Amino acid sequence: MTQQRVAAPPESPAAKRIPLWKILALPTVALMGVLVYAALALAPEDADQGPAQRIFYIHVPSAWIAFLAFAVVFVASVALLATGKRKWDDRAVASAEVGVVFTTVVMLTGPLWARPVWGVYWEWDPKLTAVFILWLIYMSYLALRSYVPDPSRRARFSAVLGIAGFLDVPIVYLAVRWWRGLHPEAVVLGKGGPQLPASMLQILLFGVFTFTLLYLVLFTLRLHVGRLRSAQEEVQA
Amino acid sequence: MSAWGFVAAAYIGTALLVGGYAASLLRKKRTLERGRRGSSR
Repeated sequence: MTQQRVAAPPESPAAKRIPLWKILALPTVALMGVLVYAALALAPEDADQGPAQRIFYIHVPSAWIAFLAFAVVFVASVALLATGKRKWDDRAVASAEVGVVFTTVVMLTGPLWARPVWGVYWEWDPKLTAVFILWLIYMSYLALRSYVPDPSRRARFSAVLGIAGFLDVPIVYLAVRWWRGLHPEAVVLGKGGPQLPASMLQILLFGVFTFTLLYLVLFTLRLHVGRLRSAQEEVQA
Repeated sequence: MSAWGFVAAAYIGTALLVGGYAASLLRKKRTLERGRRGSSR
């Protein structure tokens, strides 16, 4: 029996360009090293919380990236429903996956910060509960995709969940203002501007910048993997 | 566990989670590219 193989589609000029994740990967890893050094060695020690407060420099940027990632899912889902173009579904799922990773980081670092400061790992506080629901929504978004075999129906169903799920993001952000709980208010974008010393704020902003680069690396790499998978499915179909 | 123990757990845990995800993406990419090269031969 002779084996038959179908030729892979020729690479487009865009595919020959150096992808963004390859350009950004090394600088991002280097900047992450600088961030860890700054957060653990250079940042001043918090007078009330002691060393545990240093978790702040990865907890807050992770939350920022989760919000950014789910905002991208929202925009891509709206664009998918408006245009029907598959590229928007690829972007939405890539961002949702990265968003789930960073929400998991938030849910890992939060309890590790809470235990030495609050005395408990977890409390069903309004903000923490809203974050847990956010994580469940986007885990469901990813799970849903494996239950719908038809690509166009899968894209539309996911888009509806991607839009509806984003409603939880402002709830997570505003939960502290709406309902009183253990979680403190935002210290940078809260009422009355930044509520922390300049030396802490600079390291936090550097962390947000570095994590944004990390998001771009992971998002574009996941997008690339998604395209390779789609090309393989088309060849096999 | 001391406060520094919680800090170390948070930083190491984050590195393992994000690094593990990046490594899984790179592994999938390599597998798919190998399959693609194989099918074009």
